[in-house]
Amino acid sequence: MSEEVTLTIDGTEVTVPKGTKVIDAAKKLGKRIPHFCYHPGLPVDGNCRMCIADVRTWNARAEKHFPARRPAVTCWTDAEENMQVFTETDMVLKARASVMEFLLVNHPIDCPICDKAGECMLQDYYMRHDRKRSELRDEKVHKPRLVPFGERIVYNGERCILCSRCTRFTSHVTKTFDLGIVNRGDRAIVELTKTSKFDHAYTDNVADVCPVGALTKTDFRFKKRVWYLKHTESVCGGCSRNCNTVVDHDGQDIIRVMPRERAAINQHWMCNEGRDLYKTLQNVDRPAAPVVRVDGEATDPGWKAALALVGEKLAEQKKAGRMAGIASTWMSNEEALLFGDLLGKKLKCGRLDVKTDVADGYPADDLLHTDDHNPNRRGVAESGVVPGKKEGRDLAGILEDCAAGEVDVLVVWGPGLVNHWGGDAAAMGEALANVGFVVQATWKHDELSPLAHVVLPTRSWAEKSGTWTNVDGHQSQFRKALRIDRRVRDDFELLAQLTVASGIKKPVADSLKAARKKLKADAEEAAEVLDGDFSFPKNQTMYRHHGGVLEV
Amino acid sequence: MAVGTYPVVGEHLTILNYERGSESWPLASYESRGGYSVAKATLGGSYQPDDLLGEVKASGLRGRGGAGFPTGLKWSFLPPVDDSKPRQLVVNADESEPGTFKDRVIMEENPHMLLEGCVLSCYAIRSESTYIYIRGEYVPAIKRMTAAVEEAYAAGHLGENIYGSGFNCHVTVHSGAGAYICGEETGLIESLEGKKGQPRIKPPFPAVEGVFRYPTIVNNVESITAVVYIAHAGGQGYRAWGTEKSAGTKLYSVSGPVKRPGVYEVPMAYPFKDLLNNECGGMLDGVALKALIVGGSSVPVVNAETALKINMDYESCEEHGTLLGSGGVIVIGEGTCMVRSLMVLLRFYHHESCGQCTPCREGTGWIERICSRIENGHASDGDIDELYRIADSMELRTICTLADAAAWPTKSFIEVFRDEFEEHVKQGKCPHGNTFPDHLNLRGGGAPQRREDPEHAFIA
Amino acid sequence: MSTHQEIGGGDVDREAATLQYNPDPHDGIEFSDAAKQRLEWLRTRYPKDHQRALILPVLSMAQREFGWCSPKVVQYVASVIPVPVIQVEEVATFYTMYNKKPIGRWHLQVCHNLSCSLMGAEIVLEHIETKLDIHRGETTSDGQFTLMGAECLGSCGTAPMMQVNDHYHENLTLQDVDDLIDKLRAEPDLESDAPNLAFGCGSGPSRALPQDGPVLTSGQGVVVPGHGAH
Repeated sequence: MSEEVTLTIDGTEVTVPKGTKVIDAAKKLGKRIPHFCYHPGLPVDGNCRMCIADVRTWNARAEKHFPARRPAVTCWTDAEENMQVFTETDMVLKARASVMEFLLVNHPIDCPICDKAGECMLQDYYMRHDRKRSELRDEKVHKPRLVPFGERIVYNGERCILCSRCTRFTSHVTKTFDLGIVNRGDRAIVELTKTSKFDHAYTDNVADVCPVGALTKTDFRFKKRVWYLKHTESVCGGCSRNCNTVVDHDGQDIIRVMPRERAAINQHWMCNEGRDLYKTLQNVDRPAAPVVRVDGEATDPGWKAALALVGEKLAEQKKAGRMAGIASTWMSNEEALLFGDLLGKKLKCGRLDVKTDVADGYPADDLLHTDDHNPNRRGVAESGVVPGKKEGRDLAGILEDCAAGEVDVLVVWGPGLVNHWGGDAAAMGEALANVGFVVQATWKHDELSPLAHVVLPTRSWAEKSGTWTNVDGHQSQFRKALRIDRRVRDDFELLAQLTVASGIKKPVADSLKAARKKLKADAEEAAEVLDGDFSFPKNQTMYRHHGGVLEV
Repeated sequence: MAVGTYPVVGEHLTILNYERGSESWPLASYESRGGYSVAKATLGGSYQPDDLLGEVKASGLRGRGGAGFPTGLKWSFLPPVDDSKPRQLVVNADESEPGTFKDRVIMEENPHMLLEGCVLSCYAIRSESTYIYIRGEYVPAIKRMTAAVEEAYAAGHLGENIYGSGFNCHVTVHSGAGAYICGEETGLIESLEGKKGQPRIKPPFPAVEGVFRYPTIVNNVESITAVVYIAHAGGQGYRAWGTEKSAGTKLYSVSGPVKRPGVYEVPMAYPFKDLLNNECGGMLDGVALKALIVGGSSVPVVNAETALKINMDYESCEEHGTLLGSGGVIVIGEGTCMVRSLMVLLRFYHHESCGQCTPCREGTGWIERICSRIENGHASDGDIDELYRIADSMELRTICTLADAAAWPTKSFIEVFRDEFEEHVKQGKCPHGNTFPDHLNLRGGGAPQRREDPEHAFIA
Repeated sequence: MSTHQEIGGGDVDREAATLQYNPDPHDGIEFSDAAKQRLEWLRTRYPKDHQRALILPVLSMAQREFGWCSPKVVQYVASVIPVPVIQVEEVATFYTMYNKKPIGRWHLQVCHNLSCSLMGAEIVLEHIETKLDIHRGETTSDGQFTLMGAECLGSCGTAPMMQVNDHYHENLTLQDVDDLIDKLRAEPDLESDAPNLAFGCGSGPSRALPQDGPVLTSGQGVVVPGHGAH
C-alpha cells in the first residue's frame, strides 16, 4: 500500500499517491491545467511554462505555507502533504497570457491552411485564455516550412513551439533516436538525424503528440477540416494487440484513424500499418445482397428465402452430425457467442474452430506489433468457438474431413479460408468439392465466394459494434461508424436470425448487452471501456488530442 | 591557530597573493609561497571534514560567480553519504558573464591555489571527484590548468591516498565549447553529461541530484580558491574584512574607460569610488563617469551619482537598486549611447538563450529587435513601454535566470536613462550617430591615453 | 510485450541504437593513434554508465583533428563512443565553437560585447571588414580569414581584442590589427604542428578534410530578422 498525500487545489482537497505530479492531481479533480509540453505518455520536460500555478508548500517548522521561489510548473512539481495550489490567481493568469504571447510572437498565422486547425492546442488556449491582439511590430523569425521527415511526416519549423514531445517520443518510447532539437535559442528547430529514414512503424505518433500543426501526416494533409469529421471509438484489427482507436469519418468514408488512450494495451500509440488499415475498406469487391447458387447459377432470392434455405440445411444437421463451422478471427465476442452456441451447443456440431483470416504481415516487436495479424483469435475461442468436447475436430481436422467427403454442410464466416492452402484457390476448390453445401457469410468476396452455395453479405468492422479480446486477454469495444444498407446485414443480427431459422426458439442472447452479460465480460474492463472518457456528447464535433487522450 | 603557511603580499590579498607579472603558475612557484601546506595540514588532522565545512559556513563566504548564495549553506544541503551515488565537486570556470574576467586570472596565474581549494573542498564535502569545467575559449587557462593538474598528480597533491591520509582526490579538466548558459549550474551539469547545456528545473537541487544524478556541489572558481585562506585562517579569520553579510575579499574585473582596467582583489564593502580612483587610477582624461554596471551585465545599471555612493558588497548594492553579481565592473563614460549599449547586451542574451523554454527563447529575440529599432530610429512612442513590458513579463517564468538577466538591464536602462530612449524616438535617429565614443582614439591611429603597462593585462 | 508494461522509460542499449541507424560510420574518417589513446583515457574519467559525457571531449578532439564538424565527423564521433547520432548532432549545433562548416585558416573573432564596444570594438570590426573586403560572418575568397563578431571572451580589461584560433590578441590598435593580419597571411604553416587534443575544441582552421558533402544542417533556412540567415 503506497503512501498517499493530501493537498488542496483551488480550495478542494484531493488525495493522491506520493509521487503524483500536481497536474495529475488536478486532473483527478476534473481540473485541466493548460499545458503544451506535458504528455501523460512521455517523460516530463517542463519547458513550455504554460502549466504554471501558484504552489505553496507547507513548512512544518514555521507552521505556514511558503510560495515557491519561482512560480512552479505543475507538470514537474510533486504533490506534497498539505500543499496548496491555486490555478486561477492573477499571477497565474498573467503568466499564462504571457506564455501565450511569447508562443504566438513568431508563430505564423497559418490557421486558414493548417491541418491542425480545430484540434490545435494553441488555438484552443488562445480562445480560452488569451484573445489579445498581437503587439508585434517586428518581423517574425523564419524557419524551414516544408521539411519531409521520411515519407509520412512533414515538419513546419515556423509553427513548431519546440515542446520536444516528438523528440521525447523517439528517444523514450520507440528508442530509435530519430528526432532531436538542433541549434540554440530562437534558431532551434526539430531535425531528423542524418542516419534515419524515419520509416519505422511508429512515425505517425509524432504528429499525434504535436500540439500544433508543426508535424503533419502526408496521409491527412489538406484532406478534410476536422470539424467536418465525426468521431467514433473503434479498435484496430491489424493484429492481436487491438490498439484502441478513434475513427474519423463522414459517415460514409473513413478519413483518418488515430489512437485512443488505453493504459493496459497501447497507452497512447498505434502503428502506421494500423492507421492505414482503413484503406483496405476502399474499392473492395463486396456482396450487396444474398446469393444462392442453383445449379451453379447465382440467383438473388432475397434474405427471407436465403435464411430459410440455410436454416433448413442447418436444422437437418442436428441429427445428421455431418456439419462444420469455421469462425472468423474478425468476429466480435458477441457474434462468436452466438455462432458457438448455435453450432456447437444447439446443433451439436463438434467440428468447430476459427480460421486465420489474415496470413502474413510484420513481425512482432517490443512495442505494439504482435505476430498474429488477426484481431480476435483469443476472444472467439474464449466466447465458445472451440472444437466439441465429444468428437470435436479442430480446423485442420475440419479441412481433412471436408476433403474426405465427411462434411455435408460447411458454414464459413468471413474471408481468408484460402490461407490454409497457402493462397492456392484451386487446391481449396478441390478440397471443398466434396462438401455438399457451403455457406459463406462475408463482408467481402474472396476465393471461396464463387465456390459457395450461399453467400450472405455481412458488415466490415467499421459498420458494426462489438468487443474483441486481445492477445493478453484485454477486451476492447468498437462502435459502428459508417452507415450501410440493411441488405448488408449486421453479423450479430444475422446470427440471431439464423438461429431462429434453424428451428431454435431464441438465440442465447438477443442484444449485444445481453451477450456481454452472458459472456461475463470483465466488469472492470467493461466499465472502463463503456463508461469512461471515451463517449462523445452527441453535439460535439471537435476534440483535442493528447495523442490518444481525448480532452473536451 | 593558523593552518599551514600563507604568504602575505598585501594585507587583503588572499587569492592574488603573488607578485603580479611574475611566473606564478608553476608548482615550484606555488610551493615556494607555502602552497599546499594548508591541504597537508588539514589532511594531516587539523580538521575533520565536518569541521572544515563548519569553518566555511562560519566564514560567510558567498558564491563568487554571481548568485551570492552562502557556500557553506549550499554544502550542507548534501544528503547523507551514499556510496552508490558518489558526491561530486564541479568547479564552474565557464566565466562568460560580460565584464567578468577574474577567474581567468586565477586559472592562468594561480592555478595551484584553485587545485588546493579543490582538495580542501572535496575533503569537506567528502567527495573524491572534481570536474573543472572551463569555457572552450579560454585555451591558455585550459593549458595552464591541465599542466597544473599533471604537476599536482606527479607531486602527490592529487590522486590516491594524498599525503598518506587515506583521502583520494581526482580532478578532471573538462572544456566547454562556447555557451554562456553553461555558466548556469544545471546548464553546466547538463553540458558535463554530454548534452546541450539546457538548465534543469530546480528542485531537485544539484546537491541532491546533480551530475550523473549524483549529489553535486557546483561552485565558482573564486569561491573554491577562497577556501584555502578560510582553511588557513579559519572562518573568523576570513571575516577580518567586509561586513556581517558580505565577508572576506572579492576579485573585481574592471573594464571601460578607466586608466588601469584589470583584476583587483579588495576587501568586501570597499567603496566603488575608491576602486575607481585608487586601484584603477580614475577615468581616462577627459571622460566623465556616466553609468556603472557593477556586477556583470545581468545586474541593473546605475547612474554616476548612485555609483559613487556604492560600497562593493551585497547589501549596499541592493540598497542602491542593483546587485553585486559576479563583480564584473563595467564603467561607462559620458558620450556613450545607452540605447546602443543596451542593444549590444540584448544581442548577447538573444545569442546565448538556450531555447528551451518559451519566454526566454522568443522574448530575448523580440526585445533585441525592439531595442534595435529604437537605436536605428524606427521606433514609435509606445515602443519604449512595450520593451519594458515584455522584459517584465519574461521575469520569473522561466526555468533559469537568463531571462531575468536579460530583463533586469532592459528595465533598469529604461528606468535610469529613459530620456535617451525618448530622444531616439523623437528624433527618429540615434543622437550619437549609431556609434560608441572612441575613448582610445583608435581612429586617430592609436591610444594616446594608452593604459599603463599594456603588456600585462591584469596588473594591479 | 506484457500487459501493464509501460512503453518507454528505462535505459537504452546505446550500442544497438547506434549500430542500427549508423550503418556506415567510418567512411574515411578515423582518429589518429594519439586521439584514440586519449579517448581511452577519457573513458576512465567518467562513470561507466554515463559515457555520453564523452560527447563534448571527443567532438572537440575531432574538430582538432579534422578541422570542422562535418556530418561524417559527427557520425564518426557517435560511432566511437557510442551514442545515437542525433545526440552528437544536437551538441555540434548547440555550442558556438563547433564549426558547422569549414572556415578560413585564421578565425578572427572580435569581441563585440559591451566592454569591448565601449573601447572601440566596432571600429576594429569595421576596419577589418574594409581591409579584408568581407562582412562579419564571411570568409575571404582565398580561404585565409574568417571574420566574426564574438560575445564576451573574458578579456574586457584589455579591450578591444580578438581571438585568433587559440590565441587572444589584446589591447589592439588599428596598426596592431594590420600588422597581425599581414603576419598571419605570411605564416607558412598552421599555428601548431600537432593538434592540441587536450585543450578543448579550439576555434581553429579547417584543415585535413576538404569540404565534401553537405554542411552540418543546423537549420538551413532559419532566418532571424536583423541577423540574416543562420
